[in-house]
Formats: sequence, structure tokens, C-alpha cells
Amino acid sequence: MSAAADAAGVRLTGVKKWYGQVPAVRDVSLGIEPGEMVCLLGPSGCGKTTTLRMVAGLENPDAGEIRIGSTLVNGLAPWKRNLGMVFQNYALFPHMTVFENVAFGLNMRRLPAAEVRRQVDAAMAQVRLAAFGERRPSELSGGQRQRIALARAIVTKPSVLLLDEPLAALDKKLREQMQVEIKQLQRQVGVTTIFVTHDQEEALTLSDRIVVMDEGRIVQIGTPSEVYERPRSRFVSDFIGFTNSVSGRVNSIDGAFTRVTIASGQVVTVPSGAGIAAGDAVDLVIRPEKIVVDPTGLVDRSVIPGTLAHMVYTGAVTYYHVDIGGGAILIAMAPNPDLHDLPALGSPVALGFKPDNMLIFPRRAES
Amino acid sequence: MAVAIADMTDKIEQRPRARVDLARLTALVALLAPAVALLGIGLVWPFLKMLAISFQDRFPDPTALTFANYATALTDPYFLRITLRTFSLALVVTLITAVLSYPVAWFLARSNSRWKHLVFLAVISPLMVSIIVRTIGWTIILGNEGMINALLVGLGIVTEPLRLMQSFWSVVVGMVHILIPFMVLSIATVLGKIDPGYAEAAAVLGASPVRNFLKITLPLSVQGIASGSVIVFCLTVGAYVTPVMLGRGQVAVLAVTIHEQMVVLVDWPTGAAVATVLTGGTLIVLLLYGLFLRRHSRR
Ligand SMILES: Nc1ncnc2c1ncn2[C@@H]1O[C@H](COP(=O)(O)OP(=O)(O)O)[C@@H](O)[C@H]1O
Ligand SMILES: [Mg+2]
Repeated sequence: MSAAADAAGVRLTGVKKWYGQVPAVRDVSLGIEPGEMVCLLGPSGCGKTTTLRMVAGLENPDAGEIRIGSTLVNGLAPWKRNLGMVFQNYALFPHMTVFENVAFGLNMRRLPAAEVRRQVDAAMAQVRLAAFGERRPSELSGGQRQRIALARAIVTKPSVLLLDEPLAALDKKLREQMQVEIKQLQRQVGVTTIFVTHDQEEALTLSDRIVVMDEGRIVQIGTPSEVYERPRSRFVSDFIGFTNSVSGRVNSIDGAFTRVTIASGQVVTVPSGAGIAAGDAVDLVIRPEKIVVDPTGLVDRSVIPGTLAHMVYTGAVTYYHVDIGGGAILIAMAPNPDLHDLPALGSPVALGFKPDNMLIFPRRAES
Repeated sequence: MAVAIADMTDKIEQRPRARVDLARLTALVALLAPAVALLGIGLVWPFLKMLAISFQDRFPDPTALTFANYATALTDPYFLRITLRTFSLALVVTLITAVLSYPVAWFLARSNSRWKHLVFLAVISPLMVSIIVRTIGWTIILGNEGMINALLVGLGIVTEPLRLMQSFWSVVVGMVHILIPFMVLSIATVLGKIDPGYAEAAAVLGASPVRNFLKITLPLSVQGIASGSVIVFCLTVGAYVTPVMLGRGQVAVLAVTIHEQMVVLVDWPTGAAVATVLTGGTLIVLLLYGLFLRRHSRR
């Protein structure tokens, strides 16, 4: 990742925002490096858009500081911030042609017409829509509008690029294609980027770092693999990726290891978690792909026996739903490398996992 | 007029024409029939009748067809002056109404203020009072013994009451007051439908509030100004009561002249020709306006 010369870092310190009595953002502190691509990820209503709009200057924070580069921007009008933004519905100006849309920011900066034309042409070539300048936004497909919105946002060489769920309106296939394009474009331009999404897969694919938010707060910041492999809370582990959970009670804690008795009565040894004491009700959480079906011959695995209750074949992989007793089901995911016979339903299966991959969290109140 | 409005409101997107089946066609005819019948009896027939009269040498009992009535209506300095005054009045009233209405419409469409409903009520309240009552209200304010003159004389600013009535501008004031609700509502409806995201996107792209308004909000609300202007222009061009009452006979407009010509002077053919000139002139103005808007919103 090569930061462009004018890419700026962004720093939020203790930022808060209420809408009337509704706290939309409560105490967000976050530093973003120049040229970095950061995702704000969280469920709908957790304050992602509000945070982004405060960086853009479209909302004013009720408390805290926002800095772009070294400039404190609290109270600075949006048109003085030199930002690029792609809105969820793109907000392409319907009364202008595609060319005029892309040229808008440059015209606002009073560049000479020839220069505007040159830069607009370059930006439109960059998003591979060079021939579409004379069309109206209404004459473009969803994916093309998306790319024009992107071209309009980057053509002014903004110090920060803000994207609010830019792919949410596209179908799955186009979304995946656009993810790749956005990432390539961002690398090419080297612009600091804040990307809002509620789609965990999008966040994992695109970000240098993911900021997971819940109810107006940041609950974890980390690289995609950190957030995926080492979620710091049950909320994060559930929100990102698919998880299994088995409830149990802490039997004893021996330094780095905790022994947990699970519903089936079996005792499982897992790495200790913060703030968990002997006798606590806990949930053990593990991802399906970390569980091996029939771990014969593999070392360092804990093994749990069970019976095969259900199978979901999806082509590339198969999900094995295994009843491990006491009403608990663990799901294991295994690739289908060769044409092979799948085990029969009801047959005994052994599940193996590395204790390191089993995460321990306090039992959640509900369910 | 219908043509001009259709031109202005048609969308950039064009859909393929849907095929209409017989049942739908029947239903459509049934639904439209009452309105068409009413228009036919109340508008088209009288209009055709008047058109016919305008070419007759006398009415009733014509002896020949002639263009003489039109020659009079279009060349007689008396009629020319009145035609010019009528169309200037409509133009001035439309302009002033648009300028005064836009900020109010903006407030109604965009504000979250708790005064909003009160302002809305204030805007449409003139519509709930008869035009005569409203016009008399203005005579109370503008008349020689009216409020403004009483104030000016009382304060010793003038010794003689000013002649505020009986002038072109007193008619303008009255017309603007009467027609403002139509303009405000037309503009507010369109402004309210504009996604605030456009102005936000423009702001992030570097547009200051003034440029944002000129480049984004104003062009996007042209439809509202256009439909409001058409209503206001047409209502002013054909206005009768207000010019008579606030002009006190000194501000002759076409509607008044037509009435005089036909009913007072019992010269139906000339009156009919003047009326046709009024209708034709209005159509031409609206057509030009439509073309102008089309050119400027397509570019
Ligand atoms: N303009 C607004 N007026 C009132 N409440 C709002 C407004 N915008 C957002 N909110 C509230 O603030 C919270 C955060 O919203 P938002 O930032 O849009 O969440 P997200 O983008 O993560 O879905 C939500 O509870 C939402 O209902
Ligand atoms: Mg949002």
C-alpha cells in the first residue's frame, strides 16, 4: 500500500453524537493512517453512517475532536474539507450528464476547462466508462452508476475517501466484482479510505483494518485476520463469520488453561479467557472450518465424539452437523477435494480441534 | 397550455409505450368521459362559438365573414395598450410571486421548525377567503382613507393622501397576494421531493452554499417554478375582479375590456376577436416558456 503524497490520516478522539435523545455515536476514538483502508463494520443502526458523516462535516459532533491530517475540522464546513464521498444511493445529479457529474468537483475548484476535461477523462477511463460521458445517470446500470460515483469522488484527489455502503444496492455477483475494483482503485490512488458496511465478508475482503461497532461504540479494532481469528467478544465472533457455540461451566482454571464441563458431561480444555472465574457459566465458541471430521492421525487435537445428525452439501464444502450429546450440536465444515463417499446420517463421527481455536466467553443472558 | 405543461413535466426516461387492451380502454373512456364532456360543453363549444363570432361583421345576424375585427384588436392603439398592459401585468406578477414564494416554499419543504404548520396555514389561508373579500381588504389598506395613508398623514410624512390605488402597482400587489399560495405550493411540492443527498454530495465536492443552490437545488426545482408560473400567469392574464377593484377603472386589462366591449358596447364581434387574441397570446407565451425551459433543463 503506497500512500499518495497528499493522503491524510484521520483521528477521532472521544467523538459523541446524539439525535435528540438518541445517542447515535457514544465515545468513538480511532486513528487512521495515511493511505490506509479502514472499514466501519457493525449491525444496522450502530452509528457507522453518523461517524462517517461527522468526518465529512455533514454532521457536527456533540463532543470530541476530529482531525484530518493535522487540522482540527470540528465546525469546518464540508466544502472546505477536500473529501470524496460515495453515498449509498450514489446521489448522482440527475440533471447533469455523467461527464458533468464527474467534473462537478473540479469546476467547484475553478480549474480551467481543458484541465477539467483531461482529468475527468482520466478518471472515467480509470473506472472503465470512458465512453459514457454524454449519458444521463438514469441511463446507466447500477454497477455503472457506482463506478461513476467513485470517479466523481476520486477525481478531485481528496485527502480522504468516504464510502457509505457503496455496494449495498448491487446484486451479489456485481458486488464481488466491485469489491475487487474498489480495492484496486484504492491501492492505485493511495487515498486514505473509510468504508462503511454491515457486510462482514466485504469488510474482510477490503480492509487493512476493521473497526467493529456496536450501539455507537467501537468494540474491536484489528486486521481482518485478528478480528476473525481472535474476536474479543461474543458479539464480534457472532457478527463476523459463522460460529458454533457450546455452553458449559468452568470446572477449574490452571493459569493459561481452563477446564470446562460441557452439556454432554465431557471436559474440554481451552485457553483461558479474561474475566472468567471457576464456576462461571460460559459459552465455548469455534468456527466450523476449525473442526476436523475424523481427526485420526492428527496430533494436538482435542477430540469430541458424536453422531452425524444432518449434512449440508454446498458443492465446494460440506457442513456436518454433529450431535455431541446433551442437546448440543457442533457444525464442522470440510472441503470436498475428491469424489468421496459421505458418511451416513446417524453414524458415529469424531470431531477434532486445536484447543487454541476454541474461544471462551461469558454465557450470554438470552438464548 | 396543456401541450406546454406536458412538455415541461415529461421525464428524461422514456418507457416503451404499453399496449392497451380493450377492457382497459373502455374503463379509461368511462373514467375520462365526465371531465371531457364538461370541458366540451363548458369550454370547447363556447370557445368555438366565440371564434366564429370573431369573424362575423355583426352579431347576431351576420351578413359577411371578415378579418376586420382582428385588424381592430391588433392595430387599434387603445386595444394594443391594454394588451401590452395585461401581458406585462401577468409577467410582473409571475416574476414577483416566484421570487417571494421560493424562500417560503423552501422553509415549508426543508424546515423542521414547529412554526412550519403555522406558516403553511398562513400561506394557504388566502385560498379560504373569497377573492372579493381579499381585494376589499387591500382597498382598506391602500385606499385614500386607508391604513397606509392614515399612517403617513398622521405621522406628518405627507400632507395629502397618496394615490396608492388606481395604479398598475396596486393591482400587482393584490394579484401577487392572491396567487402566492399556488406558487408556494407548486415549488414546495417539488422541493420536498428533492433528495437532500444531492446537496450534501455537492457540498462534499466543494460547492459553497450559494453555488450549491445555483447548481443543484435551483435546477432541480425548476419544475415547481414552471408549473407555479403557468398557473399564476394564466390566472393573472384572465383576472377581472382585482384589476377592477384595485385599479378603480384606471387599470384596464383585457378581461375588463372584453366584458365592456360585449356587454356595455354590445359589440360582440370585436369583443370576441380581443378574447381570441388574449387566448392566442397566452398560448404563445406558454409555448415559448416551455421551449425555453426545455432547452435549459436538457443542457
Ligand atoms: N437524522 C437522524 N435523526 C434521528 N436519529 C437518527 C438520524 N440518523 C441516524 N439516527 C439514529 O442514530 C443511530 C445510528 O444511525 P446510523 O449512524 O445511521 O447507523 P448505521 O449507519 O450504522 O446503520 C440509529 O439509532 C438511528 O436511528
Ligand atoms: Mg448507515
